[in-house]
Parts: sequence; structure tokens; C-alpha cells
Amino acid sequence: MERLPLSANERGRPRGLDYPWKRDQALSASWSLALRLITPLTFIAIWQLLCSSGALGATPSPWQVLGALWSLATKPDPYLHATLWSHLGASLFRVIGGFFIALLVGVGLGLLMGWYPLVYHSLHPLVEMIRPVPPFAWVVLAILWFKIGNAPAIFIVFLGAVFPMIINTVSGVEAVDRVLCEAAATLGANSRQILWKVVIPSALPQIITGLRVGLGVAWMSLIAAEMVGVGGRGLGLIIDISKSTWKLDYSVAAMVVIGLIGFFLDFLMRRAERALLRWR
Amino acid sequence: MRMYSASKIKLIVPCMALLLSTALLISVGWGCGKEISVERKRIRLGYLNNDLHQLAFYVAQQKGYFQEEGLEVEVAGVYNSGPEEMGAFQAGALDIGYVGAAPAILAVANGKANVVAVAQANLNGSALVASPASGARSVSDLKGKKVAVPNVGTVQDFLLRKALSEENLTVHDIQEVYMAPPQMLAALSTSSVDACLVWEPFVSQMVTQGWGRIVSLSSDIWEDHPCCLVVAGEEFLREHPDAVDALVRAHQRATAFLQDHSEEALSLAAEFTGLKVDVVDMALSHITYKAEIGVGGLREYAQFLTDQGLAKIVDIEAFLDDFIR
Repeated sequence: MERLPLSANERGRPRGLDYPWKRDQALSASWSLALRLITPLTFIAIWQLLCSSGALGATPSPWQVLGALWSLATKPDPYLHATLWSHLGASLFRVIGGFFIALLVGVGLGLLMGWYPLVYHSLHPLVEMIRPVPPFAWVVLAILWFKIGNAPAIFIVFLGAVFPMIINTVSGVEAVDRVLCEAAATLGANSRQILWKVVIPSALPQIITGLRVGLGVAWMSLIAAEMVGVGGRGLGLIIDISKSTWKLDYSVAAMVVIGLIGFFLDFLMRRAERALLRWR
Repeated sequence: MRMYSASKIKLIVPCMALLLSTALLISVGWGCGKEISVERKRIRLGYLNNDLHQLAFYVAQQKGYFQEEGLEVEVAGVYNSGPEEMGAFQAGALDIGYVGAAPAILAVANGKANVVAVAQANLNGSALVASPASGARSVSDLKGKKVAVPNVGTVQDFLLRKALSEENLTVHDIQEVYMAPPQMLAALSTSSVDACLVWEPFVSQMVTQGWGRIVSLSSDIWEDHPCCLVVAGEEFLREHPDAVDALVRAHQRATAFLQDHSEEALSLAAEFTGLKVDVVDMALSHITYKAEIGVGGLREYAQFLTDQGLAKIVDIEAFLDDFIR
């Protein structure tokens, strides 16, 4: 599949079925790259201007944040005496751990709920009630159930990540064309074959969307997750502690690192998505 | 496959409109609820929730001391932590705040908020609490154990270091864990940490629940150590010195009332925190309410923050001259 960056029919849509009213929005590769650079740079420029003008109070400027990033990356921080890389490693472990458990549970439950009305009707109210509870609210319960350290932290990340995966998988399965299933059944496929050969492949784009959203929420849950007493390592801890000591440039530097890593992981997921959906 | 028929859409649109207009009405009603008085001097005050150290504020409010001074004190913000409250000062949203000495000094020393200490709220009022399962009965028993403190550079972090150094130990001989006090309750109840150094009323909650016993009171580790202060925004103090004076007078009256530790003080404290009377009774016995600023304690603490590289204070005496009114 050839890449047409930013074009409307980039992925997940049948080839040959183009949208004529969107065709003029397709951009050349160099244009799309330029746009991708211009918006973040404009954002940084406005941020710097607002800081220089004093309109944002004690907000650190991009320049100060860059300096904080450099000092965090090259020498141990003044609070926990560890470098950015070990904080990043500790947080990455919690996010990836929570994400993979959420993937197993979320996609599994989502398939069952989408496929069996019995499961859907039994679990749907519970899922919808737990889903809106913010990860932060679980902190104390997580300690009671999993003590302190990585286990409760991973649990909180899991709680954040699992619901987008369930919801997207369910609606992916619901959107499967019943005609395809009936056709497969007519050809003699049993329900297991229909699930694996028809349902999962057709629901895959939406499942992957669920995984991408889930990964983002996993990162968003990180500060709450690292409030459970995780010892001395973690980007969430850096944000929290440097806020207390009013080193806001360190806080924002850690926020920037989370943003960049999140962006990079999403990029990897989109790559994986393209590889998985090549058959389309 | 789900499709919405035209009739369904017809139903959805009015429903959404109804929902939106309800939300709009509620938010408008909210704004109208606030009364505005013109005669009294209005003060926007902030304090920390879940905390007994700012009890004098509640007493002054409930007993009408502020009104008698011609002040109308509006609670403009209740915060989870000191840094958030200092952020509100920085944003110009508060005039007066009851807040920990630590966040106030750190914010001023690092040039992030301009506040001046106008009175002490309290001294002492923390303790080192160990879980029964840890078997720790003294500070030296903490070697190799997990000890929770609420963040780096807090007064409690300093108290722990002080207590350890009395026994020729350092923080490297224990496992220090950073945790907010409500989380410490959960962690101590499951023996996930061996000990906590935390402020009231968390100490008394841990003890009355049977989750921990007091190893040392903070007043034994560091006598009359600073805890919370009453601070005023620098600009507010410059423009309305009389209002600040009036507020400090009301605060002093409320503090004197608390020093008597009467039944009425107890019931006000229970009301303020929503805690049981036995918890509050124990907690109040650990806190020293005093309105006069303890300069010696602040000096020692500012020195600690400077030594730890957490605050940039070149001349501590000059800093305290500016910081304390």
C-alpha cells in the first residue's frame, strides 16, 4: 500500500473507493511534512513570546525547558538523584505493563461483548459505570489491594487503558457486516472460524484505534499511578516533586518527554497497523 | 450495523438541546448564588483541606471574629497541597492563605510567588508513626525499613533526616518513599510501608485505627518546629495593610481560643475536619497553636532547603527580613 500522507483515503478504507469531494485535500509529501513542522514551531514561538511578555507568570519558557531537559538527561536530578533515562525506563515499564494487560483483557472482553449478547448485556452497565471514574480516584484503593510499588501503579495504568479498548472492540465487532458472516456460515464455516476469519479481521481497524487511544490514556494515568509510592523513579514523580519545589522547568521538561515518547509509540502503532492491514 | 433513521434523529436533536439548556441554566444559577457585600473589606482566602493546622481560620470564621474586625472573608480556594495554593497566589487569585512554611518559603525563594508571612498558624504537630508489624519502637529500628514522607524537602523530610542523624543514621540507611498523606493511611493499614513521618490529623487517624504507633513526636525531634503560616500576597499587603492587620488580630484571637483546648474547640475541630472527636482530641494535643512567628525555626529550615539545593537563598537573614513582616 503506497503512502499518501494526510490524504483522506490513507488507511482502513477500501481502495478504489475514493471520495471525490475530498480529493482536493490530498497533499504532496513535502507540503505535509512542512505543515507537520510549522504548527509545532509556531506553537513554541507563541509560547516563547507569551513567556517573554510576562503574560504567563512563572511559566517556564521553551528555552528554559530545553535547558532543564539537557540537565535532566546529562546529570542526576537534585531530588531523587537519578537521570532522566532511569526515570523514563521506570515509567515506560509501568505504562507498557499496564497497556499489555489492558490489551489482553480489553480486546478479549470486547470481542466477547460484541459477539455474545448475553455477555454484552451482563457487562455493559458495569463497564459504563467504571469507565468514567478518573484514575486518580483509584490511588488509595490500589494501595489497599496491591500494596505499594509497581503493582498498584500498573493496575492504575491498566484501568485507564482498558476501557477505550473494550469500547472500540465492541463497536468494531458490532459493525461487522452480517452478510459476510452469513455467507461464511453458508459455506460451512463454524462459529469459531467465523470469529477468527471474518469478525476479527473486519473489526481490526477499530480494535487498533482502541489500542491507540488506550495507550494515550495509559500515559495520562501515569501521574496518578506514580502517587502510590513507587520508590524513587518515574516521570510522574519528577512532575510532582519539582512542582513542590517550584522547579517548574523540570516539571514541563518531564511533560515534554511524556509527550514525545507518547508520539513515538503512537507512530510505532500506526506502523504496526499498516503492516497488519496490508491485506486490505 | 447501526443506522439512525430520520425519526430517531428528530428525537435526538431536541434531547440534546434540552440537555445543553439545562447545563446552561445550572451554570447561570451558580453565578447568581454568590452574594456581594460592599461595606466590608473582602478578602480572598485559601487553605489546605484535610488539615487541622488552619483551624484558627475556621474558629475565626465560625465565631464571627472576622466580621467583628469589619472583614468579609471569602474562601476562594481549598487546596490539596501547598504548591497548588502558591500557584493560586502567583496567579493573583488569593489575598491571604494558610499554608505550610515549606511551600511558602520555596515559592518565594525560587522567585515564583510574592507572599509575606504575617503570622504563624501553628508549630509542631507531626510524628513518626510505625506499623505494629514493622516492630519498630525507636528510630534506630528503622534501619533498612520503608519510611514514607510527603515529598522531598518538606518539613517532614527534614524531621526524618534530623531524627536519623541523632542515631548516626542517614536517609541512605532506610528506604525513603514519597507519598501524599491520604495514601500513607492506606499504605500503613496494609503494612506496605513500615513507618510514616506525617502531620496531623493523619497521625491520630493511624493511631486510633490501630495501624500504627507513635515512635517520636516531631516536637521531640525538633522543638517548636515551624509548620503552617499565615501569608499575605505582597501586593495586597502593600495596598491594604489595615485589612491585613485586622485579619491578624482575628487570627490571634482564634489562636488564643484554641490554646485553651476547650470542648468547644474540639467540637469545632471535629466539624471542620469531619473526623471523630477522639481523633481530633489526640491531634490537637500534638499541635501547638501560636500566632507569633517562630523565626529561629524558619531560619533553620531555610538553611536546610539551601543545603539541599532546593532553594536559592544567598543571604538567609536578608531573605527572612523580607519574608517575615
